[in-house]
This record gives sequence, structure tokens and C-alpha cells, in this order.
Amino acid sequence: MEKLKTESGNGETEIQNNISENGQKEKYKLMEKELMLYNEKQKIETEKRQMEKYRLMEEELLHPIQKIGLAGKVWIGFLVVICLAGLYAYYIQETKSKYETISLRDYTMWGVYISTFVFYVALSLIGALMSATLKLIKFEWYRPLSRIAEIIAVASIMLAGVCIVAAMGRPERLYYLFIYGRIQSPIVWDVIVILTYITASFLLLFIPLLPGIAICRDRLTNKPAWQKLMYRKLSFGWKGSPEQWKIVKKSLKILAILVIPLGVSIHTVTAWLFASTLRPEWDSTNFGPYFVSGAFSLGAAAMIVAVYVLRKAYKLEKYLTDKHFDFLGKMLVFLSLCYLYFNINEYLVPSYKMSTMHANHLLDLFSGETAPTYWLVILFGIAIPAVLPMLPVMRTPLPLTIIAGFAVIAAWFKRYLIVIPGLSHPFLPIQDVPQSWMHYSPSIVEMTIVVATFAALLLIITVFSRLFPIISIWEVAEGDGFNILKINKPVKKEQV
Amino acid sequence: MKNYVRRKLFAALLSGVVLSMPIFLFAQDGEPTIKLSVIENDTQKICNAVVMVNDTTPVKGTDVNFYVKRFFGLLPLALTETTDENGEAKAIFQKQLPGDSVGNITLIAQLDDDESVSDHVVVPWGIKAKSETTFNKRELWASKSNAPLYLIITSNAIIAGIWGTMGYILFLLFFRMKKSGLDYEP
Repeated sequence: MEKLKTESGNGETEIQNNISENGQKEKYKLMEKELMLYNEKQKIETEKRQMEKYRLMEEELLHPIQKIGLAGKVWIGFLVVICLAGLYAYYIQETKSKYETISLRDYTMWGVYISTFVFYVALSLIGALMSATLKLIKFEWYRPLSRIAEIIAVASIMLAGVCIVAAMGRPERLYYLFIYGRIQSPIVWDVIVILTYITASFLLLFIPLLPGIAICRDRLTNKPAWQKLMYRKLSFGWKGSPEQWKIVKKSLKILAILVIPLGVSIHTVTAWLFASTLRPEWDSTNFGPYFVSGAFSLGAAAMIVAVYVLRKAYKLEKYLTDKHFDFLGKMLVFLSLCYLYFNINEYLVPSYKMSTMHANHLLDLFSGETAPTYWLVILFGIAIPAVLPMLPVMRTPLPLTIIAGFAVIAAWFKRYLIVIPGLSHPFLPIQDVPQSWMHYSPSIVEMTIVVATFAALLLIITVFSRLFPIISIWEVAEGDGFNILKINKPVKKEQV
Repeated sequence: MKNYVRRKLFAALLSGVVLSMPIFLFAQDGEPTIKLSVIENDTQKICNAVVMVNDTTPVKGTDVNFYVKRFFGLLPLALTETTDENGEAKAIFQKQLPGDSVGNITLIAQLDDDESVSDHVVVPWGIKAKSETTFNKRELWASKSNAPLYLIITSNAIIAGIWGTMGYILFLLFFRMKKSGLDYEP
């Protein structure tokens, strides 16, 4: 009996235990459910907040495209007028005697056109430096800068081509280069590498722009019909599908790898145009790296100026931050020091030997007719950008932009000093020739065309920034931790 | 007055005779000439110049220079030689010089005092020159169609590689991009 009681007692305890276990399990399940619901709610909330944040970002970055103010219109009009003046000057050059319209003569047959061409080719390396290189080495701060760098690269390489056509004269003969060009000639190498680089740079600009064009297509519904049609056609049916993202990412990776050797090649080949001659001023094995390092230093300086101007003009302080200026300032110091190293190689070694052939040119640069320009270029183009931004206070936006602005101007004069004095000191002394053959100073026609190309560069950047987002929205969003696959989707009509 | 004129005329005549004396005496000797010939035997090649006046009188003690004509000037063949009593000066040709396509070279003999007095002779003593034209060969400086093969191959390989890659990206853009988004519902 006792045994039975004990057994039944045990059974009750077991049942009680089972009941309490079941209750706990249910309670646990309930808690789990609640937690899941809470998490899901949190997730939805986070996604919602992220979406709101993203839409705000979209709105802010689309702002320059939404409406062009009076100042913007005046600026575009001003640039158009200068470009038209340049076209008129070119018309004069091509229809009247070139002996009267331009100052190029038998000795200085490459003037400001070729100096400006070299300047633009150097500037175009900004795409390889600021976009491709930083992208590949995963420097996250590149994200808002890449688009700016790419449009400067595309515009400057296009204008480099314009300068060549202006320097050639007889533009109707341009196709001779393709028909009769010899593969042995550095000029043909330059033509090939420029055409290749322009295509690669254009693709590097366009491919990451696709999601941005789709945003414009979906968001900017109040734009004129032609603009909407342009967005529709250029977006290539972008819907933000995983496959489309895969194509974009893959293409970008390939292009970033491709653009770096291409960028280095384009400027090295430009240097070879000079270095493959026997002129003592250009007969240097250092010329390729000397040109490339100069181009990178110019690229950093130009980027600082562009970032400052765009940040001010379009109120993009939230995206183009002081941190960017700090990084760019450090980059400018490093690249200017590299450039200084190659300058020392280029000038100090021949100066140490001072052979008769080199002395003619070097003494002119150091203490002769071109000395003031030469030393100002060294000061503003290399020394100051290499030293001053070492101080943190000089890496703040305004001081750094002033330093960079002078460095950009000095960079143009540097190319002038490479091209013109080199031609003015041939092997045989210049004798019994008209005065105008001995000294070169650009004519009004030449300078108008050169200034017009600068205006065209600014016009291309301005118009581009008024039609497409100048900061890559998805790249910035990705850098901020957004899941671009979820966020960057076309907006439905009812949401607009 | 008459005597005065007579005296003046006499003085003029006398001075004319005195002044023309050296010219007369020199003209008597005649212009020297030089004649170059060569003597060739088994061991030696000799240039022999004979200096004469009026083609009959040998001139002794005159210095003669021997040269070989080159592209832009005259190459001295030997030291200056002096003529003997027969008016002869000799120089031994010991050089190995490039000649024209058949090995001809031009030897020249000149009077040291007067370079206009000279003679030359063409002899086959030079080394036959081989014409090495690169006109139709593949060289860096040749025409477009004769570019070196290594340059054509490497440059085209680089161009094809880069443009091929860009072509692939363009293919993705034009043929895959739109297709990839067709069935996708955001």
C-alpha cells in the first residue's frame, strides 16, 4: 500500500513537473516570439530610418539638379561666351595667315597649345589617382570624391585633344594621323593611348553613374521632356537587381585596374614625345616619372580646388567634409615631395655637370630671362604645397584651397617652362633670323583659344553637375553602411 | 719743255722695263706641272709624282703632298715628300681604305706651295664597298608598312588586350544590363 502511495506520489510529482516544464516552455516560446516580433519591429524601424536617411541624402545630392539659380545661369552664360570667343579666335587662326595670327615660328613651333595639352593630360590623371587608386586600396574617404575626379579626367582629356587640333592647324588633315601614322612614332602612340584613356575614363565615369541616372529618372519628374528622355535612355533599364549590381561592381573593378596603367602610360608617352628627341633639355630618362609625379601632384591640387568650389556652390558640406581636406592636404604634401624628388633629378644632376649644351638652357632658367617664372613655379608649385600643408591649420578648407589654387596655376607655367625654353635653345645658335623667331610670346588668338579651353573645362563640369549627381549617391550610402541592394531601388510612382 | 717731256717719257719707259724684268724672267721658267702615276709590284704599291716645268725640265726640291679623296675631304696618304733631281717624289700606299663598289679610289698629288697644281689617278686599290641599304627592311625609321614586327606584335597585343577588356564591359552594358533588370520587381 505504502509502495503504491509512494508510486502514486512520484507520479503526481512527475505530472506536476511535466506541467511546470510545459508551462516554462510555452512561456519561453512566447518570450521568443515576442523577442522576434520586437527584433523585426526594430529592424523595420531601422530600415525605415535608414530609408528616410537615404531619401534625405538623395534629396540633398539631387538639389543642384533640381533648380539652377540666377547665379548658376550667369556662370554658365559667362563660360559659354568665353567658349564662343575661343571658337571665333580659332576661326580667325584657320582663315587668316597663321604668321600673323599666331606667334609660332620655326624655332618655337610648340607654344601655349602644347603646354596646355601637357597640362590637360597631367590633369586627366586625377581620375586614375583619386578614383581608381583610392577605390582599389579601399580608402573609404574616396567615395564622395570619385565622381568629381572622373568628370575632371574626362573633360581634361577631351580638351587635351582640342589643344592638339588647335596646335596642328589644318584640322581637315587630322585623319592623316590615322591613315599615314607610323606605329614607330611616339606621336601615334600618344594618339592611341589618348583615345584608349578617354574611353576607359568615360566608362569609369558612366558605369557607376547608372544608379544615379536611374534616381534622376525616377525622382526628377518635373524636368523637361528631353531631359527625362535622356535619363530614361542613359539608365539602361536600371532597376537595381542583384545581377545589375553585379555587373556594375565587376565592371568597376576591371576599369579601376585598367585605368591606373593607362593613366601612367598616357603621361609617360606624352613625356616621350619630348624625351625621344635629341634636344638636351628633353633628352632625359627621368622624363616619364617626372611627368607622372607632376601630374599626380597637380591632380591632388586640382581636386582640392574642385572640392572646395563644389562644396560651397552646392552646399555639400555634409558630404565633402573637413576630413576630406585633411586627407587631401596630406596627399598633396606626399605627392609634392615625390615631384620635388624628380625635379631634383631633372635639374640638379645636369646642373652639376653643366655641359655646354645643358648650360645654355639651365642658366636661362636659373638666372636668365625665364628665371622669375622658374623660381615662382618652384616656390608655389612644389615648395609651398610640400611644406605648408604639414601644419594641421593649413589643411583646413580655405588655406589649403589657396595653396592648391596657386599650385594649379604654377603647374600650367611649369608645362610652359618645359616646352618653350626647350625649343628656344637649339643645338645651333639662332642667328640671322627675324626678331619674332628668337623670342616666343603667345598671340591674342592663341591665348583666347587657351582661355576658352579652360572655360570649356569648367563648363563641362558645371553642366554635368547640373544634369547628374556630382557625388555618387550609392557609393556614399554604401560607405555609410547602407545595404545598397535594398535601398537603391527605383521609386514607385505613388511614392514620388 | 720738250726736254722735260722727253725725260719723263724716258723715265717711264725705264721703270716699265725694270718692273717687267722679274715677270719676264719667271715666264721664262714656265708654269710647273705635276703628273701622277702609280707603280705596282708584288710587294708594294707606290705613287709617283713628277714635277716639271714646260713639260721638259724637272723641278728639284719641291714639296709634294699625296692624298686619297674621301667623301668630305682629302686624307693624307704619307708625309710630305720632296722631289729629287728627276723631279720625282714617291709615296708608298700602305693603307686599307674603302673604295667604291669596284674598289676604286682616287689618289691625288699636289704641290705643297700651290694646291692648284695637282693631278689625280683612279686605281683599284680600295676595298670594295658593300652597299647596305635598309630601304626595304623593317626598321624603326622605315615607312609605316616596314615597321619592325616586334613593335607591331607587342603594340597590337596591348591594344587588343585593353580594347578587348573595354569591349567586354561595353558588351555587359549594352547587352546584359537591361536584360538583367527586365524580370526584376523591386
